[in-house]
Amino acid sequence: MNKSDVIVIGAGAVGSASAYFLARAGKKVTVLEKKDSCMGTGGATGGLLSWFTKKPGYHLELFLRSKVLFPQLAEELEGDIGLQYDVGTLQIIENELEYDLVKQSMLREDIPQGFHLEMLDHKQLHEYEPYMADDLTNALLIPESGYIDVFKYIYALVANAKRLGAVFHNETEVTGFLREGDRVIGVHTNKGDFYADTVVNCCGTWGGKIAAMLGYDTLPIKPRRGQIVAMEPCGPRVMHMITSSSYQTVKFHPELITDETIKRTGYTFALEQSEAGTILINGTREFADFDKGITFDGIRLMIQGAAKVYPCLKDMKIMRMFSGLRPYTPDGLPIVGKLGDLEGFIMACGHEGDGIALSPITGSIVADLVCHGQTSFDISPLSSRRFL
Amino acid sequence: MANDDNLIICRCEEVTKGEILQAIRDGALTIDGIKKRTRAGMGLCQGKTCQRLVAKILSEATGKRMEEILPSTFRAPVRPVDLTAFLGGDSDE
Repeated sequence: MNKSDVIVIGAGAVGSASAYFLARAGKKVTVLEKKDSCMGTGGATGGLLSWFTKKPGYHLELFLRSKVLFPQLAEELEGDIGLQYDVGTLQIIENELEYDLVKQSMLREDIPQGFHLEMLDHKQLHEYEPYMADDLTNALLIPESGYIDVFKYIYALVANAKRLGAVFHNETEVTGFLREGDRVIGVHTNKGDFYADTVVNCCGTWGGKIAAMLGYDTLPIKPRRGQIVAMEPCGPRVMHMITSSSYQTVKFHPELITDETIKRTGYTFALEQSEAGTILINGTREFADFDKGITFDGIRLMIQGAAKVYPCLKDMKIMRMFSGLRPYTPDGLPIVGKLGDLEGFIMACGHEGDGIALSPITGSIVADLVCHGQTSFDISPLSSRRFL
Repeated sequence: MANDDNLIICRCEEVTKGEILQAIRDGALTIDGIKKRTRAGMGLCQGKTCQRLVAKILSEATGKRMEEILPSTFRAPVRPVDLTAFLGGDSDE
């Protein structure tokens, strides 16, 4: 019989981080992954670590708890996780409305200690970003924004969890659960049955499907699609992570958006250039069930927006267009903790676009719940009960 | 045959056979798994040149038959296309 202390379902960012923290705490961990790491949400995402896009309050506090764990992980994990701290994000400002909103946000009283916002004028902006279109007059600089190489990070978590004894089974799909009343005691898979004292659901976008196998079929985790365009590699053109103030608008004030195509696709402008020289253009935030396709409407909006900000893109070729699915929840917070009255089962999914940024704190919460049955801070806002 | 671990398999991203074998030892079971661990197939040709070589290495290392190995997901465009192809109509005024 295959028996371990903990089964983690899903080897993405959250599952791999959970496996690592559990293994580090001395637990015998088995990870069951339907495909392979970096094949789901983490396989099609940027690596921005920014406090600025988090909702003030609990969401932001959770991010700050996670942020401090990244340098610790960079220290203790063997291998490079591609972490860059304080590389800075620029939020371009495209109209008066956004300028006013940004000005307001700079006066926020909840800007956490040690974090800054700086308004750049035309001259400063073009010193920072020489290839940017000259007609852009202002941008907000968010100096304390980090970046992580998502693939390196996730594979480093996997490798280090393995080093500490965790066993990963790729291409192993959970098809059902073994239960004794309200207690989960194991799972059925296409490779046989696995038993454990605790089973952790780290299936992200697909987490609702796993919960449904246990009779909890009302969790509102929905796939939200983000389309991405990858340009042919080129020399340095984009020096920072670039976003647009419209991102904040779409995220926090959707009622102010009037354009129908933008409303439908949830288009926001974001752009970054990877170490390999590839410029990645993001993105959309749209509901299309589990369809990972791309749409002409969406791609066209993204490319028009990008070419307006970086005219040099007009002389370049598109290499690849693809999309990723992020696990949306209605209040923007993940579901972490018990599922209803079930014993021996922990949820850790529904992070939408924060799966990478919140993976360390989520892994640490999971390890605390398994090892001590409690956490060092309040996680009730993450409870599944808010959706049951 | 001499040790050919240093053989470049993916020319765009300069990935060697040794790195591909390491990715397989690290758990890669597919061409996509190798790609995400090593960047093989992630460059300008998007795997058009190296994909069959990667598949062959994977087949030899895992015992999977060539026809069982799924091709990497090919995405649009089939070959790099000018960005301006998407800038028709109302974009230039």
